[in-house]
Amino acid sequence: MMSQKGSVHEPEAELLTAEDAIEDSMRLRAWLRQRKEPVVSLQVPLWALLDAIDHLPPDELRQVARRADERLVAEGSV
Amino acid sequence: MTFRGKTSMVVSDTGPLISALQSESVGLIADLFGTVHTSEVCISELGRHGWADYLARHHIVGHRLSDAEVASAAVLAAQIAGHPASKEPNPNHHAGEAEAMVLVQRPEFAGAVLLLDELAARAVATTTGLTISGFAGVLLTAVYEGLLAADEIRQKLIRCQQQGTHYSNTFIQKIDQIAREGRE
Repeated sequence: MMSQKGSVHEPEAELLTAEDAIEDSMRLRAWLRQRKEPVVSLQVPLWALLDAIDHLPPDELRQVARRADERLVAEGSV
Repeated sequence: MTFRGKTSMVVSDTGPLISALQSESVGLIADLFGTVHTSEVCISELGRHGWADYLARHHIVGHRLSDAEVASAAVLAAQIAGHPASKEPNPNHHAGEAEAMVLVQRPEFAGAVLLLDELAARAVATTTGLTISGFAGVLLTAVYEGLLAADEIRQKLIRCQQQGTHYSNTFIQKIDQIAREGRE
């Protein structure tokens, strides 16, 4: 079914209250504080990454392949 | 090649993404949380609501779920449909929320934020221990983090309302008031 732009997604769904939004914001700010821990840049030669891929088990390898495909699509390279 | 430590990410259901597109806030979400990810069902829903062209302009990454993940999402969709806060008893109508909930539980999204605006879906998602927020909570956070002026939050919510999102005037007024008080 094709909807018009501006049409309401799940119009009967009950949405959040302002109090919910405040709680969300408190949760997000706590999440951001955790993420603001100091980080350092790490130079990794490409061969090291490729070598690591050679030693991944199938499940992790599929995860890497899936991520690579998604990145290529996002970059418009496929 | 340079790795910069922990990567922040956000996985979103259709509703918050529509609000973000309506109010031109996708960039704001990315500034706060990093790359925006969603499921292919949500991408389809966005397309049905006329946002397909806009998705191409934003860095929103769609993910196809595996058969096992689709099965897990079906279980969650049934839980959402059966929740007392749900007004839609058909689980198929909750596929987007359920897929987003499954997607964010992939190992590569460990610690990511999940954006959900609907009460029933949030009630189910809360039991998973995920970090959850609705769109308005993101806007408030952007104000507190200095990425959005307090008086802009009302304009953004009104733009969503004018384009069909069911934000009440009372809701917008309260969020506006909270944003202004929080910045003082």
